[in-house]
Amino acid sequence: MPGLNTVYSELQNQGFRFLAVNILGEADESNIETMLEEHPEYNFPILLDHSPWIRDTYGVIAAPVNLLIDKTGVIRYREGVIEEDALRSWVEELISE
Amino acid sequence: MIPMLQSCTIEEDPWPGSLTITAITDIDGTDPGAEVILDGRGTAYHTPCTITDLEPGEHTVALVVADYSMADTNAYTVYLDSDNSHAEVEILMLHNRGVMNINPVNADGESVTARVILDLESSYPPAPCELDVPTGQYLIHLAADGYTVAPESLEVDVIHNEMQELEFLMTPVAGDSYQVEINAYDEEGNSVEGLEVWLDGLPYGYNTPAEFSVAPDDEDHLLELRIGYSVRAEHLVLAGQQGTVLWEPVISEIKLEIMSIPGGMPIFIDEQVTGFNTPYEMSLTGSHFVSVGSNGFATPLPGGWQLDITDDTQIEITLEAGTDGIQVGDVATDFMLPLYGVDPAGNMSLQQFRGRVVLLNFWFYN
Repeated sequence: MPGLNTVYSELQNQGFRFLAVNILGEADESNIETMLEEHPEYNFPILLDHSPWIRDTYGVIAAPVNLLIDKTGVIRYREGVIEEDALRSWVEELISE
Repeated sequence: MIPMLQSCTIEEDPWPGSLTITAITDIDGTDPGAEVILDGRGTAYHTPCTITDLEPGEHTVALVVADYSMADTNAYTVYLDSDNSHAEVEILMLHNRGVMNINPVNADGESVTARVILDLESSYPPAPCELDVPTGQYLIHLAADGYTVAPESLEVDVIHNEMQELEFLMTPVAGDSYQVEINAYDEEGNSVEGLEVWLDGLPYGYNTPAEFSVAPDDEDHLLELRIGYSVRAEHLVLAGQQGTVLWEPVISEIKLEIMSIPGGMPIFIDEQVTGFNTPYEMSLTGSHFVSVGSNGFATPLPGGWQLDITDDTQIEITLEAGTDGIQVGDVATDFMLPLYGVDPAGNMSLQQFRGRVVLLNFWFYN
């Protein structure tokens, strides 16, 4: 997560967005609070997944799952753990399209 | 509250269409807060609601909510174009429940208290009673210590919003009843509570530890302790029994063993992370949704398995490389979810970010 946030901070002004969907929803809220206390630099929106259909639709059976979506809404990369350098490279590639 | 999250910006690049959806029930005309199924996919919207940023063209709307069904079982179709970019849909929802009025009476027409067994489940309030249940067909038995019941069973069709009057004749059995006392223990000598007591193949309406009387007759009777429909112990009571039958069986624990190929995969029970990885053996009974998976692998059935665990169960899951669900090259399905840490509560949809490169990260904190 720190690496993802770094890339988000660097490329946010170029149109890159980072949405973090917590798949445990409200059940994980206290842990989210703890995480944000430990990482006050995190500035991406956190969404709470209250309905399993999103996970079913996206085939998420474990976490993390990272999907990189291009400007037209098409999924271009699907990864588990994602390296900061790889993410930066892919995002820059998609921004330039 | 997390101030930094309040400052996040949302880009607007919406389609022009919008759709207002309301539902009314046939009972009192209120809106039951049904989940909206839009274009065949579930959403995070509940009625009454307005969905914005909809693409021009044809859209279908269906609603799902417990205890109700759409009066017209087909999905509603609406068409949005530049001249008609807003539509309103009101959907009538029928209350799909009915009532059984169950009256056990003796030959003089006086009420007798009896246990109710519905579809072999005994967790219902005693009769006389009114049971509000989903519409459908039911098999009903009554049981009362010291009585025979006529009819022995009854098939009932519960109809939408109607009451079925059901009367059972309760006849006392002559002679002294004998007492049955059941205490179940596990292998370490601890009392096992909540096992269902069955008599002659039917639930008798008691759970362990149980104490009840049985009317005497000239037949042998089979006592069983069950979890769901799984027999965990049985005991034959011979004809002519008198006094007290004391039965203290030892019940072995029910185990669920989950294995996977490859191993070491995280286990989810009822969509909650367990913190355990395969292979793992746990004590578990009842109906549960079990899934196993990890990054780069997918279970053969998306999401997992619905297991009804009534006996020792062993599942071995062969995971396939790759993932189910939306794949690389597919258009990402839109959704709307509540935002954490934003006051007042707000939602965010994926569609709001059209025209941007988006990293969508599914995670939980560990």
